[in-house]
Amino acid sequence: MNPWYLSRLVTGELAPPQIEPVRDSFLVALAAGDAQALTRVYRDHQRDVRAFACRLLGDESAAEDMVQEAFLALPSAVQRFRGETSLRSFVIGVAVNQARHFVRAAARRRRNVQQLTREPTYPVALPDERLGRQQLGDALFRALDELSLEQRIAFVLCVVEERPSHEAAEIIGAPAPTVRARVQSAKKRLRERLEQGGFR
Amino acid sequence: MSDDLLERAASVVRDRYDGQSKRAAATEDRLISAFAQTRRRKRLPMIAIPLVAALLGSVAWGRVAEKLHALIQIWSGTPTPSTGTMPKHVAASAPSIPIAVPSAPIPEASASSATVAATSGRPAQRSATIRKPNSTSRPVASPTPSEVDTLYRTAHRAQFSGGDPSQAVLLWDRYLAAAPNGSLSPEARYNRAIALARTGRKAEAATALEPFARGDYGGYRKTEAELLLGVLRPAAPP
Repeated sequence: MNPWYLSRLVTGELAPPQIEPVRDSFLVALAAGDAQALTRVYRDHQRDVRAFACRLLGDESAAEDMVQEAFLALPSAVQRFRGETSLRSFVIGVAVNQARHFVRAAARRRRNVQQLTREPTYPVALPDERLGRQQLGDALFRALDELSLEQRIAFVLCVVEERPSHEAAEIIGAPAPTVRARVQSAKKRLRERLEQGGFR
Repeated sequence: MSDDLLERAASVVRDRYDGQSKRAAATEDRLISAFAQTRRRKRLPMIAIPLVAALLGSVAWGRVAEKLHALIQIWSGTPTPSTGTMPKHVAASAPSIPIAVPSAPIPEASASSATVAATSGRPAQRSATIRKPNSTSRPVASPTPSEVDTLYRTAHRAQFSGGDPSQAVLLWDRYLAAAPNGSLSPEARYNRAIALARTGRKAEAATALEPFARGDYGGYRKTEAELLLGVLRPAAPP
């Protein structure tokens, strides 16, 4: 624990964090491992989690696995839920915690496919707008593979999903200024890589 | 260089993946199935660990209780429940119906030869050579299994329920004469040694316990015999 925070706690200047019990019976059932509660929360939030997973990984198969793992981890994770954020943000936060393994796997698969098809790393954008957009999306994922996981997650949450930095901070569990700094670093790096690939 | 390029790229990704998938239902099925498996795996140790702990505890307590029982037999001379000292196979095979003690007197020669066999712990052939034929004694050379069984129960009852150790010694001798190499003979020899100690014949008891302490019967009653010998030796004559 931060020494400054600890000293303030000891002197009584700061109140200790209140850990509120989960009062919602649905969440209690979920925390207790009720399959019906899990089904309900999956149906309510699977679309948001899947969208985030796909946007983070750029691979629908890997995203499905990540969605499953995130919801599988939810009953034990929800015991830490204090209602400070929405349940939707909390569920996406659980998915963020599961992301590292899946991001590596998706990047590895993308590299393998790239080597097999012998496509150029950054193809020149074609005049056809639809094809150009597709190539731009693929190029963005290849560029994302070169970022750190923290920068990648911050970029996807703040730029791709257009979440405000404070919400992204709640999901990630990091201070908002840190998240903004990660987004700026990610943007700079991605812009360079896309421009090197001939995208303007 | 502007954010326009990144905005366009982000927009492409945003539009490409809106979270809808034809595989959503299949993923739900997989999720529920995996969740059920996880719960089963978590429950297994919750059930197995207490069972294993209870089993280990009962085994440990059984060993402690056996040792306590042996010491209590020596020091108090009070009859104690016999199940603590009986081997499990004996306890399982013993019927609960009472069996009458045979009223026939024990012949001198037979009893003495049985005593030699029981004390020495030697096999039946050796004790058979010592035994002298006696016209007044009832033949014990070929007792039926049910007779041997009855002898064992009678001796056991006399020792642990009758409260008469000297009678128990005689009955154990009779049993050992009938079945010196029977499956229950080690237990009979051990019980006889205990009965001897309770009658005050500590030197004989110590002699009877020596084969157990030496490990002639493997690990059977070895620890208890060592303990008891440690108690009996100071009292035994040099």
